[in-house]
Amino acid sequence: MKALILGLSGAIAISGAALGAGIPDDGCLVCHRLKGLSVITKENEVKDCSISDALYAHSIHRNVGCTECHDKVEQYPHKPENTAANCTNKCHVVDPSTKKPFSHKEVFETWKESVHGKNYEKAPDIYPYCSYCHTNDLLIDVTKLESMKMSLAKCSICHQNKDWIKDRFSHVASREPIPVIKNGFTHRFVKTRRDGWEIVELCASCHEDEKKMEKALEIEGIHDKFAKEHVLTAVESYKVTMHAKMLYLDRNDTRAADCLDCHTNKDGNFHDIFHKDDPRSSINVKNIELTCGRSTECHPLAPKEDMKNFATTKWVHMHPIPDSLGQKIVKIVEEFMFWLTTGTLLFAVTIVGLDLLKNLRRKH
Amino acid sequence: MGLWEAFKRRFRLRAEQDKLLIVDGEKIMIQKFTLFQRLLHVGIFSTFIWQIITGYPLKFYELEWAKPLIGLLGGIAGEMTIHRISGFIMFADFLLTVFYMILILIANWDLAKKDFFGYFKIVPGPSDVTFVHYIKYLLGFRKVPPDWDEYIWVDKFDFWAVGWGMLAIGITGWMLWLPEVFTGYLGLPPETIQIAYLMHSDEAVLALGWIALVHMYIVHYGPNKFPMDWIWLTGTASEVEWIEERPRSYRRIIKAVAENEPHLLEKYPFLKERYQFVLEVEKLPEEEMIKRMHEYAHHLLEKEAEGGKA
Repeated sequence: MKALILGLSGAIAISGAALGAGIPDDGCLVCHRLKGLSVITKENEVKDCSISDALYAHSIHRNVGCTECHDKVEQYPHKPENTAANCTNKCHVVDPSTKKPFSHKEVFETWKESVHGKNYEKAPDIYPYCSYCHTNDLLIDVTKLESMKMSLAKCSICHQNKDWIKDRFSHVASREPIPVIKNGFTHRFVKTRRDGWEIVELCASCHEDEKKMEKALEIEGIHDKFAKEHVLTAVESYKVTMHAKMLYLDRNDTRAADCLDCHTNKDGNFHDIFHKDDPRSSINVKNIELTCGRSTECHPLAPKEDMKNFATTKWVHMHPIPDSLGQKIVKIVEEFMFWLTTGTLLFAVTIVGLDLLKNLRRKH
Repeated sequence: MGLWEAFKRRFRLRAEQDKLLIVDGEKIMIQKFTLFQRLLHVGIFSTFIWQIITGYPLKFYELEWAKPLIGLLGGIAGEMTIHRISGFIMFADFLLTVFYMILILIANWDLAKKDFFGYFKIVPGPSDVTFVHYIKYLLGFRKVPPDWDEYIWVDKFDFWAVGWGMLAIGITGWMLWLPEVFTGYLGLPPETIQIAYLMHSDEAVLALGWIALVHMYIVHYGPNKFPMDWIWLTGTASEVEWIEERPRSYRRIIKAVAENEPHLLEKYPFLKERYQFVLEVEKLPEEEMIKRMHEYAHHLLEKEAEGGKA
């Protein structure tokens, strides 16, 4: 009995502390704040279910109650199959631009039609749901960053409430690798918090997984040899390009194109990734020039009117796949250069080795 | 003197006897490279080193040393700037060499018509049968090295390989630098850039591999040259080296001196001695002749060492 009273008072105290910190946790943190809280999954794996209230209180979703997204959780204890987050729910946070409750629904609808979402129901284990790419990022305290001060000061010209400015600015800036500054101002507010190489790694985490991709190709009904090769070698053949090397070698240099730069539409919502034959796709033959038109920022000499030849260069995915005459020629050149290099170097090693032996023999 | 005469005099091939230098009235040296030729070489190798430093971190970007090296070079922006400036200088050096060769060909057209391979010895020709002799020698089917002329096989290979390299790596470098210009304004098909990238990348491995393995062996870390053959700086080689490494050229130079400047033989008795030796060994079968010349080089070396001790 004593233990029960102690437990209940502890739970009330903890829940009070959470509420005190301004977390609308719906009482979930009573249990979930306990370190080491875990369950055993059907696959016999231990899954950590603990949540740090301190971290949560400083996260992007700090103002959103748990059950606003985990909307199937209605009782205690809740069923394990009811824990999924519904990212399309309207939450109590009001979008200041529309004065309506905020929702990710529009983005979700785009995802649902995209290559990632359209077959999700058929194989949820291989296609990425929202939470595969999006985590509940921590906020960045913009007031502590010297580099942000000028931007912050600029906001206060129009907005009077300094706390509100700080809060909104933190929300936006937290999506950025900090500091991305140009002339003292954050210049590219929202793309993603990940840098270019992190985006490549995120995409590669599935696209480099041959088993996963083979399964996806089966679901998509893609059986053509060359079409399959395009998909299976996508990451490998991107990683040998100048774009990939630039992103990997200099993380501060964000000029080179990552996966999203080419596979999403200009002015789109970064979830509109479609098969290249789909007219909505950024790499569809109708849109490719516009997509590569982005690169006039990096390739200022690119012709703005007729970019077809520049836009269709395969150096964004380097390996030649001989599905056309042009690519067959590239393949022949690739083979020729390989054998020329290998043959010449083998000859060099042989001749130097023999000459060295001869010289040493002569000396003795 | 007319303009044509002045031009011809400036770019005329050196006569064989002019390659022989007598130092301090007692020592023979052979001049292989002129100052201009040495400067062209300095231009190529110094830019080549920068191209390697700035290009290889890109080629092998996932290796541990690549990132710190790029950091030292000032990030991607710094690395690219150095690579492009250095590449530009290298390509200019190549164009200058081509221009220089054309001028030499024009100024010596009469000689080219008479005996092209005889005068333009850097061009691969019939005398390169010596390469077959060299392979036979390496494999033990021949007792002595070949009767090498002024330019041995590796000289020719290195020289013409730079020409091929400049096409494979230089022009493709331009394409990668300005892909928009080549595909956009010049209208080259999209595959051009892909081919340019593959060739640029593979040729970089080929060039460094060859230079590191063969060229460096021949002029730096080979047993006969370590720590280096200073000819790239001085332009001259010692008599002993020339007899051992390019015996055919040595004989021709000595004979040319005797025929065209006989007074030098009277003035320098050691030169007369060399001439007599050359006439004597040329009567022998080739392998015996090379053997005797090597012995003679050894004898000169010993004599030089004794002189040094005294």
